[in-house]
Amino acid sequence: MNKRERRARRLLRWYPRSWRATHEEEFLSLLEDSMGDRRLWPGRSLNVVMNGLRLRSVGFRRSPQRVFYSSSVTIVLLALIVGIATNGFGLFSASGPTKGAMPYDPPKGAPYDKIPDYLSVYIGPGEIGYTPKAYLAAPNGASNTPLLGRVAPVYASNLATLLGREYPGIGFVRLGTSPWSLPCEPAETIGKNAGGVKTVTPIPCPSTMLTLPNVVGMVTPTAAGELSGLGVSVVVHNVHSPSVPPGHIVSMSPMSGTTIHARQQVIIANSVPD
Amino acid sequence: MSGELSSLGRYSGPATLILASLAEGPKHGYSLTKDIDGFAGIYLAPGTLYAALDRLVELGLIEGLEPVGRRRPYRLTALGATTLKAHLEAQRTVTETGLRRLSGAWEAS
Repeated sequence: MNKRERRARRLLRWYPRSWRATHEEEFLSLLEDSMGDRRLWPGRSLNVVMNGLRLRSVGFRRSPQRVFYSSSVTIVLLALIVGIATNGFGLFSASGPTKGAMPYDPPKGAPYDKIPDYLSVYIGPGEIGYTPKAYLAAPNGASNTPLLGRVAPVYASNLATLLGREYPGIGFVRLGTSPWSLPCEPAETIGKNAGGVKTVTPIPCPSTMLTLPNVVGMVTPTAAGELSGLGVSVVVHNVHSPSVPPGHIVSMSPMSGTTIHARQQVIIANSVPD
Repeated sequence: MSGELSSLGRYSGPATLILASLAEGPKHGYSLTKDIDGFAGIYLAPGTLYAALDRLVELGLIEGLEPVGRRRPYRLTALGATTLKAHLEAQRTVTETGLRRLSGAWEAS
């Protein structure tokens, strides 16, 4: 097997097994022929990876555990590729990557080289991820404000955190809207314990309340990204639905329009094929 | 008929290019890429190409033929030809209207 073929086969593995069963040879020959044109290009490899992942997210027919494991591995690799492509890991800087404080609030006009390579962002209760500074700071350092509100990919702070996630969509946040950046209002959750007695659990600052947007009908990664961008903790459950296409959200709990605490968990039901 | 192509959403660009390329005769993946690059100056990356091919097969606008060696050629179906024609004619209306209005309002001034 020559180098080109090995490389094509590695890329092919991003596609689900069922797709490979019908397309393997023709797709491999396309990849190998294309590599002859120019060198295989981070952009085009990423294009293959993204399309493979897209198919996996809508078309899998495997056990949940297996899906979880294989998607976790692909998330790690994807995060690495995106990171290297954007130089987000600071791999090419002489002093190595540096990490910013949490939450990072760049002063307007901060010089680009004074901003840490990694910026901490809130991804969920007790969890901090990192996003490359390229997503937050204007390269010339002229103004950082217009980037607030942008959705940025987030790499979890360590491998265990990343593997522990249930869904890749959680890896995106809307910059500048984490509950950590909002004013502190002491709050509490009210529930019932096993004996039916009312319990009140105080939640430490920082905290805030928010109204849930509607994510029913959205593509699952978008929905998870939308919700995690608000700071809430998102749990994805897989369900079979006769009416909602695979990879889209069937329902959410609590329902949209409900006012919840920013640290409350939201469960979204992702449609999977029968 | 053109509704079928616009239902492809973000794939409608590659889909139109692929259908236009196959209007000439069956082609496999790599020759599609080269042909489209030649007449439109657009390079369809492998992942994008196959995402669009899958959708077009699903919609019955193209069909895969028996592989020749490792490569599988794709062919335009009758439905695909009708759909492409309707889509291009709708685009022509837009193009002609735009050009006419540009020449009226912008070249005079």
